[in-house]
Amino acid sequence: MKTIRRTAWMVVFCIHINPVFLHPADAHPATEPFEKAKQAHDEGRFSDAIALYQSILEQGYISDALLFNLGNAYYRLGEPGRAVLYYSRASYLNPADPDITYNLGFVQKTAGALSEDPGTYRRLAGRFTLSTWIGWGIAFYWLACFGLGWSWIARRGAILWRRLSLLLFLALIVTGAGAAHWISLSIHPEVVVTEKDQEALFAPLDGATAHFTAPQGTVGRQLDRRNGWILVSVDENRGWLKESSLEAVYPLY
Amino acid sequence: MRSGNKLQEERHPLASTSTASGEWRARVLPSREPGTRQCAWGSGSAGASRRTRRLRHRHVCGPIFVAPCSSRAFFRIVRPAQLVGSLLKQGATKTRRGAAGSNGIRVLVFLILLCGLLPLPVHAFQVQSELEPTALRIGEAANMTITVTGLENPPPPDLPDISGLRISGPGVERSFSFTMRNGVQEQSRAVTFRYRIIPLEPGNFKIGPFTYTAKGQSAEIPERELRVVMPGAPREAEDPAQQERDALPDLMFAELQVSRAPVFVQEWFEITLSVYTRGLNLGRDIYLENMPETGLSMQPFQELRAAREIVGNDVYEVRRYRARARALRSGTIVFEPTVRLHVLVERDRRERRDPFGDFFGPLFSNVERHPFDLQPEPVELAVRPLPTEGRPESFTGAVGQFAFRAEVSPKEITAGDPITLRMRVAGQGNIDVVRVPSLEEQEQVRAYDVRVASREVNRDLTSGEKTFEQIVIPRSEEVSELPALQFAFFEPETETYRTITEGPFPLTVRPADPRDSRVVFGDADPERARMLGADIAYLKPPPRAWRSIMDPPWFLHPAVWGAQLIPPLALLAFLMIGRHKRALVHDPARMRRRRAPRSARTGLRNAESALRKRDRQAFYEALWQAISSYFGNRLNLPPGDIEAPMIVRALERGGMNEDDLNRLQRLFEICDRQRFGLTSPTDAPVTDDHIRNWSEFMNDLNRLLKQCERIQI
Repeated sequence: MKTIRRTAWMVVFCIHINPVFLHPADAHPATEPFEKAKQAHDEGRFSDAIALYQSILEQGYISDALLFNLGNAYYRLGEPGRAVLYYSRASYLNPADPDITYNLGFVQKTAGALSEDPGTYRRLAGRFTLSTWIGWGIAFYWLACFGLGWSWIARRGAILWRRLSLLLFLALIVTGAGAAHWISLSIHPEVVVTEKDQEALFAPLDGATAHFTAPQGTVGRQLDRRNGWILVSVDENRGWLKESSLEAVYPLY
Repeated sequence: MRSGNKLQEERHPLASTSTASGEWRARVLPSREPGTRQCAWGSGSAGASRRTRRLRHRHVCGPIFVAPCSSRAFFRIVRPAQLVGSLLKQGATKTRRGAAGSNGIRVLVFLILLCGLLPLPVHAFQVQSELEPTALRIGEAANMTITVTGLENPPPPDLPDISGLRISGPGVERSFSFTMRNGVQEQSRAVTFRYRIIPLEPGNFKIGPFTYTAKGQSAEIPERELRVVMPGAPREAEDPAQQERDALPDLMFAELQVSRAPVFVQEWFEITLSVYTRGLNLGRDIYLENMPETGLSMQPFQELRAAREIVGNDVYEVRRYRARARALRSGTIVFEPTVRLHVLVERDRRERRDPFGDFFGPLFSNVERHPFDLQPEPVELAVRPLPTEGRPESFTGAVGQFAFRAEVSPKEITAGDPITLRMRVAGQGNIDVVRVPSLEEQEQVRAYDVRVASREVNRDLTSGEKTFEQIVIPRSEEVSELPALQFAFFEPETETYRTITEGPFPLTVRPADPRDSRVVFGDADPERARMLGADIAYLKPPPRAWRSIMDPPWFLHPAVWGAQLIPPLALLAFLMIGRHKRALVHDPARMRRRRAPRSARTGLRNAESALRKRDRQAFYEALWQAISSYFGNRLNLPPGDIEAPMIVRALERGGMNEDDLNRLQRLFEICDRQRFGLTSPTDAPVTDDHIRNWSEFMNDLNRLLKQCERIQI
């Protein structure tokens, strides 16, 4: 009887200290408009769904599911550029989500959008968020320091501890490289073409020679910014696009 | 000639001249076996060696295959088709005889090798001539080379006698090369005749044209001109510009030329920079500055082959550089660049008297570089805008000559399925900026943006091929075709616009089958389970935890950053502990000194225990243990060396007061007496007075040991 009572108290305690149970989904102020937006989407009222999703963002709440659903609504509304924008933002929050990756690729392919080959480094670094990289980095840093310190006082296995700490320091460097990818994205963010039939020009001037077309949903890297124009690198091509036709995707930590 | 391990092939000498179609020629005789023919020399006596026969074939036979076949005739010369037929027939015969294995492999090997040999092309007989240099001073010599390709042992050409020139030679060089083209190995042989031409008097000499005849064929060798001047002769000014140039003490000058003028916007043209020098040694790098920075798209300059030219009765070495450029706007572009180059002057050895200069000089640089700037005559280039008259609506800026193809696939679809419209543009011109027409969105057809599927443009961007793709989706079965596409471009040569039309593209669009959306359960026919379409993944449920945009990330919290100081501090602590432990290991006296109080406490605890048990013997043993272990560790003494006088002397040197020394000495004596039985018998009963005394001894010892800890021994 005593054991049962103790277990019951433990359960109650856990429920109260766990934030998930502390603020259950149905109690959160963002959940109600979220559900309404889903319903509007299912009924084909995509503009209403977008407005509801945006209202949640304006309240200051965000999640990868919200951005994902927003991308879906924009795609159904026939705006693949904005769909790609929100899928990209969602993938920054949750790079491991297969649905986000699939929808992003699907919409880009359907829209004929260009995208830069990220390369092995960016592909690997982009698999985890900056928080994850930093979390792992801190863990490796602590373990490496304590491993090295223990190797100085251990009576046995000092060499093993030293090698282990060296490996941990190498792992720390790897996590640093992963974090550097996200920091570089903050400096040169990815931009998404959200307007139709955009042409990248050789110079940031009206009437300059067109270099290449950038269909909606094209994702490139911002290299420079000048007088309302942005120099974008896409698939080994560089061209100036009007700032109004682009939306930047900054990493959200 | 081409040879392999087992097969050899040789082309007939006439093959390169009269047999453009590559007809196979062979001298053949009826074979001993039906269906094949045998070479007259290939079926030689049984005693003739294989090598001898092979060499004979090389010299006599035409384009034939020589294949080992049977013991009676090692080599058989047949036409390729006959060889295949023969081999197959032989294989069949042998199979019937029960020797299928070896024969089958042999047939297979022959067929594979045959496939590699069949597509041998036939080269044309070619003659090339070259004169280098084309400008000379009296006393210098020129070389004329005539290269004959595609003939074996061609006769040397007879150069006619030319008055004023002495022609000697020829020297003969033979070359032989293999090249791979489209996966086929090609061979070529060339014979080069080299003549040395020495001018005897100044003037302009024309060598040729003349006809070269060899083995019944003839080829024309074009005229080559050789200009010869007398060194130090007065200059012949032919035009005002030449006069002006001659007036300069010009050991070097530069010229800039454009290939055509005027040009149209977006039309490619060439800019050639020529640097003339006379008797100077120029550095390798030449810089071109002050070129127009706007309105022009230029490719990098490429260096052409160096040459010699006569200007104003002087022979100049000429370096030429060429770049392709394209005007981006109409108007006049003025080229007035500055050419910066370096003249190399050999360093005067007398200036290098220092020992290091003499030592390092030859190793590094023996010349000095003197920079010079040359100003070529400015060149004005008129750039014309593209004419508006006759400009098609579909014109999107392509200038040059292009071909355009468009196709759709698939042509039979279900409503709602995507169709790929693939458009290919190839040609010469501004291919890098060419765009193609696209289908507009219609009520019945959904159209996405055009994207570049592939791009193969040469390095200077003047020609290439681009493929574009556009995804279109017919929304209903009423769509029967996609409209035609028009691609227009401007041809600068003819100054006209041209339009290429592709399409319309007929389509067969089936209505969407509503049954396709049925759910297929496990017992359904597996052959009917197929991909019915593709779409985005459905919506996600509300998240369990929402994030606030305003909340800073956890790793920016000051506590997180502050906590990161713990590992280095811990590392520092570990470092100090480790160093301390290592120091103790190497210093036993110090380690024993640190162990002394702990060991004394152990002894005192034991004494206290014995006191409670009223065990006299154990009490004094424990008391002695406390004293001996403490002073043994403290003074780093072996157990047998612990004696009261030595310890008292050491404490006296350490500054312990006399009273405490006496007390300590007394304690030593009591312990010795009790331990060695010099007092009352050990089995006498322990009274309360004894207990009080022992307790007093313990307190005394405790206090004395603490006192000892405070002094330096």
